[in-house]
Amino acid sequence: MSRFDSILLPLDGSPESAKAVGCAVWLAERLGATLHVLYSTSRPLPPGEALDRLCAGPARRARTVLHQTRHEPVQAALEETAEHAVKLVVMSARGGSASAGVDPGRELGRVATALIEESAVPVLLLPVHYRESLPWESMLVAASGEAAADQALASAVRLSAMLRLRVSVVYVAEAAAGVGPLAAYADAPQHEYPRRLEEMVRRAIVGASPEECRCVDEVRVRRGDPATELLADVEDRRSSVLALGWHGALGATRAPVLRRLLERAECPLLVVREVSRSRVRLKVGDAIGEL
Amino acid sequence: MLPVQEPVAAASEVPRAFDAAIFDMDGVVTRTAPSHAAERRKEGVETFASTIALIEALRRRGIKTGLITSSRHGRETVEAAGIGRLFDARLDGVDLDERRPAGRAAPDLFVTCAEALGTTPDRAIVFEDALAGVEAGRRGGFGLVVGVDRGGNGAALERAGADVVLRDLGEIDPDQLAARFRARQEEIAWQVEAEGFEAAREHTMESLFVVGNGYLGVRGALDSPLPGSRSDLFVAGVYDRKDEDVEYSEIEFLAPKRGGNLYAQLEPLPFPFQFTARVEGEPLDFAGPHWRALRRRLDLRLGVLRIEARYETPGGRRTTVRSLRCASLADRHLLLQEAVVTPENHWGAVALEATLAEPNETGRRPPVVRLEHVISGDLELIRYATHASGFEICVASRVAVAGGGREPLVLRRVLSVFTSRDGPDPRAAAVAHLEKFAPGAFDALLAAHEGKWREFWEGADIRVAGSPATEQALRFGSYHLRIAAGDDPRVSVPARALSGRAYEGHVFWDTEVFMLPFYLHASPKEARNLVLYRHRTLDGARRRAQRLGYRGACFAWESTLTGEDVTPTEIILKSSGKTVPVFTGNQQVHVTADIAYAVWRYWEATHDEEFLAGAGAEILFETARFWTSRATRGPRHDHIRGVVGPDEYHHDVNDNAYTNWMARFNLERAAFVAESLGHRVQAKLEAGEPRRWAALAGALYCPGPDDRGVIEQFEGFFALGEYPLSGEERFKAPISRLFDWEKINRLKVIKQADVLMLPLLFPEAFSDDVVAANYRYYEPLTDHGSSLSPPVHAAIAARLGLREDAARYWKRSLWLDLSNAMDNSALGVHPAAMGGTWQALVFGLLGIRFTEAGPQVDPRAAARLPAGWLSVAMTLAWRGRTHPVTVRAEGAPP
Repeated sequence: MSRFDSILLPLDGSPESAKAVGCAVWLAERLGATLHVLYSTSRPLPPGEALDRLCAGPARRARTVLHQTRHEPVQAALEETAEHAVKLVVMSARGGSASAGVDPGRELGRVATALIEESAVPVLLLPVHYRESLPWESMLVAASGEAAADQALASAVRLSAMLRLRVSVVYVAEAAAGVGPLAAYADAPQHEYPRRLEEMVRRAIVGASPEECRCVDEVRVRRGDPATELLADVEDRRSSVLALGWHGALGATRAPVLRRLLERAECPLLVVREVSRSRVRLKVGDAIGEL
Repeated sequence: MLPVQEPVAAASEVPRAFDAAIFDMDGVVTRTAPSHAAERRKEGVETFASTIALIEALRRRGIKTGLITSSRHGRETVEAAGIGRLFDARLDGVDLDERRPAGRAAPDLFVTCAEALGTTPDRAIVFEDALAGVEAGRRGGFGLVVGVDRGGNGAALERAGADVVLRDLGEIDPDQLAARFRARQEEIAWQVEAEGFEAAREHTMESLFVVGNGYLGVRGALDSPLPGSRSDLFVAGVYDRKDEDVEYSEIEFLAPKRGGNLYAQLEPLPFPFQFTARVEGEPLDFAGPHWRALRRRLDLRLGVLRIEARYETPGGRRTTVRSLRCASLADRHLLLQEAVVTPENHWGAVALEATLAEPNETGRRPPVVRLEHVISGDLELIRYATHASGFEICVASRVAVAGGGREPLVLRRVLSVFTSRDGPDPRAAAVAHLEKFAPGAFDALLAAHEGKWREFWEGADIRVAGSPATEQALRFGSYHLRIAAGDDPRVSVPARALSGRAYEGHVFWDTEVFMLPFYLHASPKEARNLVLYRHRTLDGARRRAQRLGYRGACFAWESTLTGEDVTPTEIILKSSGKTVPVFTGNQQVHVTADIAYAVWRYWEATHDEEFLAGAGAEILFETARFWTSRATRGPRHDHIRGVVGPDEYHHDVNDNAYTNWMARFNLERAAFVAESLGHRVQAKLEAGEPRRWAALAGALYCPGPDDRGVIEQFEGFFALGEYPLSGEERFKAPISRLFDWEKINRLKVIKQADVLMLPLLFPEAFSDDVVAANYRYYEPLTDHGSSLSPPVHAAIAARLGLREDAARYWKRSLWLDLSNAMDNSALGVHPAAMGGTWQALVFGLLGIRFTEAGPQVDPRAAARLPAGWLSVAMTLAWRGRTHPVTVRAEGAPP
């Protein structure tokens, strides 16, 4: 429910992490936000040099705050997030280790992994194949009907309204019909999903203002493998950024869609972890539990 | 986890109210321990003797005991205090860390401890002295939370959710604890509570938490509704022309405009309970960033919705907003609302503003026409008009605000709702209504409302010993049925009552067949109005019959104010624009006989002779005339052709068993009443009519059991194609079936109980063998695409002694809305399923039949009660008296 007035950009001094600078600066300028730059490095730079590296104009510099730390970067980022009421984290999916050529097949670095697992605010991840394309014009949101996706949709709509982006929402129905929230309509998905999806979207952004709701200009269904279809949709519609919710745990076999997106996407990924406070518990006897 | 002690051997012989007691260590069991290990060893750890005595007493009764502390020195403290032997399970900060999944929050200590003790939170008691711990106990769903007030923070502990606050545990013994625990269970079963906020579930919550009184219903939206809320006020009878953007029965369905019908859609009106609280200018709502917690609690016993919301605004200012609202059961035009804003840790500027004007009124679909909005002193008044039907609605309110500064800010609002259906000048009526109430009358008005609810429950409550969850769900159903029906015979109960937009406020057979028995036997005053409603629409039914080329009266399948049928002739699937024809409006004629059946049931239950000789006879005769013209003569029998039965997947069928049985009953009762009331009804009859009705009843083909005992649902049903119905296809909204209507019409798959309705409505007419044969045949073919189907199956399965089937279907029906089982409760609750659930219990599980002496319970009922039930107790109204009924499960203690 934030206004994205405070952005955190964690950097480790590596070229890979610096890929996020352009996007973070652009976002901060468009949102009128304070940009908190967090350098986690064993060799702090002179402040002026660090700011110069951001290539920000004088007006931007006035709203940029530099924090340099030798502390453990994850802890430092979480502390800065809390201390400065950060509403959005912008960072590369990998940093120093990728720049050093360590484990080149890996899609997500240690710090990024920890931050998307633990940060309570959305994280804009720039994947390893990220290609900067500014300004943004549109955002694609992956819908699933699950709470995490709903929260991602709500965040995406708020951000898009502030950035004046068009939002399109896509639901990827996997080949085996009859699963997921649309199961009741399994017999004729091609006819019945889209408007059902509109209702799903309406429910997810029930707290959004009419102006925010107007950002959503299309809701559609694709069928197939979720990661493949989402990326194809980004390509087809030339979406600037892809937003998705996730449950928040990257075990060995968990979050396969997010992993594949991180491997292959060239656009930024707005990753929103499900915040558990937003569950409703209906206390109606042990037969029901959570709705 | 520390080693778990051996179970205590000496168990009490008295049935236990609860299984376990979990104690917070610091402050409850021990005085705060020194933080250094050396000091702990040197100085020892002091315990509270009264707590130790209580723990020992509990253990002697077989209660498991647990100890928790978030301290990482828990083990040492336990050792230093020498209390390890007193606990079956102990958890400390170290255990917590071990259980913490990487990157995730630690599990709740209390819940984990309950698991370690082999029980569930609802069977355990928590003892805590810290606010956070009390909140955790409440959040965890523990059966009782005992706050221990060691330092004058009792009020805060109560606010945090403690059920009991004690200064010392010496103030209570195990028996008193058990009594408190049982009282708390009793309370829980009288309320439905939702904790937390989830935007995507908000529409469903709004349906569940409706307040109403039959005259009106207000959805349970938050006090400051979200921009996308469906925060509707419905006033019974305020219909307008159809707005095609409003969904029909399902989210996916649209129904086109219904020609020029001015009363095709119950009008959703703006929310009357809106208020906004601000702290230092920051709005406290759930659209913004400041909310922290939400609890919505519907007090079923008193018909009051309470909402508690907590916020944190910039600077860490914590503020709680508690509100109460109700629609008075003592005065149908009256709404009451109270809001209390309590700054928890600050003295920031608090503002509280109530308004009748909906912020997003211009975006409301369908839009309403605002005629006037006036604020004058403490009086606010808003007036709307419907677009086409010409109704005016006036909502007026008086507001009193008190407190502020260092005291909580309190707002009390008395609201009055009148429409032009109540009189020519709703504005004047609303203002005059408010002026009747003296300043400070709020408490008396609330007490009068609560008194009416208590009266209602005297006749309607069902006690299920051994299953508070069942009691709660039954009360939830009875609550919604009560607020659906009022004292105005010009209106009846719509398919989704006054709780949502689905079915546009239309009245179906649901009311007569599924809901009426509840009113007859639990709240008879409402029953008479419901049958009189059909008499009020009799002229419309006559016109309809005439238009269709028949005699008498043909009631509307979907009815609103006039009796004109408002069933859509087609449904448009939103996404594709494809249309699906709707055959029910012209073909589901069984509703006419259903209404006649309801007339008879009403008379049977009340012996209301005046009604029978008047409105009742008129309905019976006119409907009988309809059947004489609707039936066609065959070589051997008369037939009813081209109908849709309760199973709406098959249209244009001939001799639907249900329709024909009901029509025959209609004809028989009409002939009987004509003969038995003689001259009292002579003027309503044409010469020879009773004889002709009786003759047609005898000649009408009513499919009977074949050699297997199975009754064919309609002519040719047995020859239809087979349809392998998978488990996944059951219990779903039937969109795909309707989409494939032509194909489905040729297959053996049915939407809901059809033939099986007959043994529910005519239990004496069929042997158990025949009922069993039909259940075995039709149950596997039924996909339960209607919420009306499971309760019928539950009742039939119960009669047959199929306990598992009965329990499965009944639970599905009982918790239909509370579990959002059909994924469409957002559009309103399902009162017919609630009425069906009630019937499945009373007529199915308990097998109650009414005789001259009153209700008679089936002797097999005690063996049919679901597992865990000790007894069922209720009262049933029958012919002016209330009769207590109690059934004890086999082997249950008296």
